[in-house]
Amino acid sequence: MAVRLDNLQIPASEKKSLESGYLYKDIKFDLATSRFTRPELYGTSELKDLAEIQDGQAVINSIKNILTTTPGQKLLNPTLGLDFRSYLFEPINSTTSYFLGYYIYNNLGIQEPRFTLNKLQITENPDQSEYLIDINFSIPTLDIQNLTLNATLNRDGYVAV
Amino acid sequence: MSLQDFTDYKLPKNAYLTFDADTLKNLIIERLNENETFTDQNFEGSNFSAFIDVVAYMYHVLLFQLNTTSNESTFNTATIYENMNKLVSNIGYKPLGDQTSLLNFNLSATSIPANVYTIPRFSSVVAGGNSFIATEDIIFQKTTNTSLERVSPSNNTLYQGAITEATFVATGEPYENIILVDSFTSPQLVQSVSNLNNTKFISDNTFGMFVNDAVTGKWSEWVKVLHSSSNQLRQNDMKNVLTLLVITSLSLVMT
Repeated sequence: MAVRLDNLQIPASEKKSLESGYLYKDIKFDLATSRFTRPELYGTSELKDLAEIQDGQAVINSIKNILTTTPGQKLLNPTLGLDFRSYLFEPINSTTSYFLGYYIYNNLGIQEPRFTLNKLQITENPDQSEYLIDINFSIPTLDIQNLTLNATLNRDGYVAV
Repeated sequence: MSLQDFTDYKLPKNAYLTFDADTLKNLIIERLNENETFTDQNFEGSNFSAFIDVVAYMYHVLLFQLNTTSNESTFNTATIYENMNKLVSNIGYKPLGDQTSLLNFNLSATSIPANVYTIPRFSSVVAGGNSFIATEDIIFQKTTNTSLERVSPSNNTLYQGAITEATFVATGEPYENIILVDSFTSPQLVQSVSNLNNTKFISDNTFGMFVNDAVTGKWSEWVKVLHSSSNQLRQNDMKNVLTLLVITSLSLVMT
């Protein structure tokens, strides 16, 4: 007798998106609109809909959102985000770098389930009062490997390079 | 709330009552999942999720304001004391506000010669650990010289609490407003169930007003002088007024 495992089924939304050629689709934060241009000579351009970001871009954007969000900023989910403020007045040295990396390593993957953290490197730069954060990660569901996200953490906050 | 009860987009008229920010967020996400156009509404870090949170939270705040405004406009559902006062004043009632406890007393005198005596107003009496205040002079006459004698005071009512003095400087301008009790600058004036001993308010709407003569420096009770043709204060009456001493606030002590 065949066994039916419903939990292994692809959700309807993902099934449709896969049929359309993407797995993840998000909107742009500035609510930019996209335009459709008719593929003909002197074709006119018409307003289409909200511009969208798909797949890898959407996941990377989500990771950046989490890194730049302080817990409490998101209205209905105050636990979202990473709190870098606790490192603001700490000395910039290898010990703080270690604990900073430990904090990111333990929390980023929990808040964004779509990616896998491969390697995390924190380099302190006391002269500039900043940390250089290099995140190497993969997105298994999209079969994307070895993506790198470089950023600096300074008194202006988390700034993606 | 489950969407099982609302299988189409025509929600019942009172469905909005079941929504708060979280349930509305869940509803939006469920609808978007059914629509199958976007996927990232399911991930908390996405831009879409941030927008949904803002929309749901705004709805929640607006609904709270709507409910509060609706409830506070009728006496049966009003919960804020000031709103109740406003509502009943519309139909002719004149609510006095919080009242302090009153105490009636009998007065006996001994060891003092026969004479007419006056206990000045605002004198305090401590009884049973609580302080009481006389708001009027207590005048009594003793007819015998030494024996214990029960006398008849002119006023036998005391108010529980203490007198608070507040001094205001008047500019002498006509129609000047003076705020006697400001709950914003005097937090202790806000009534607290857990700390009634510190509660202060103008009991019985009673207060005395005294003015300080600019020349003699003497305080005297200010008597409101009205125009014969209107209820407006004459400007001349305020010209020599420099300082107002307002006797206010009998504090409530629950026993």
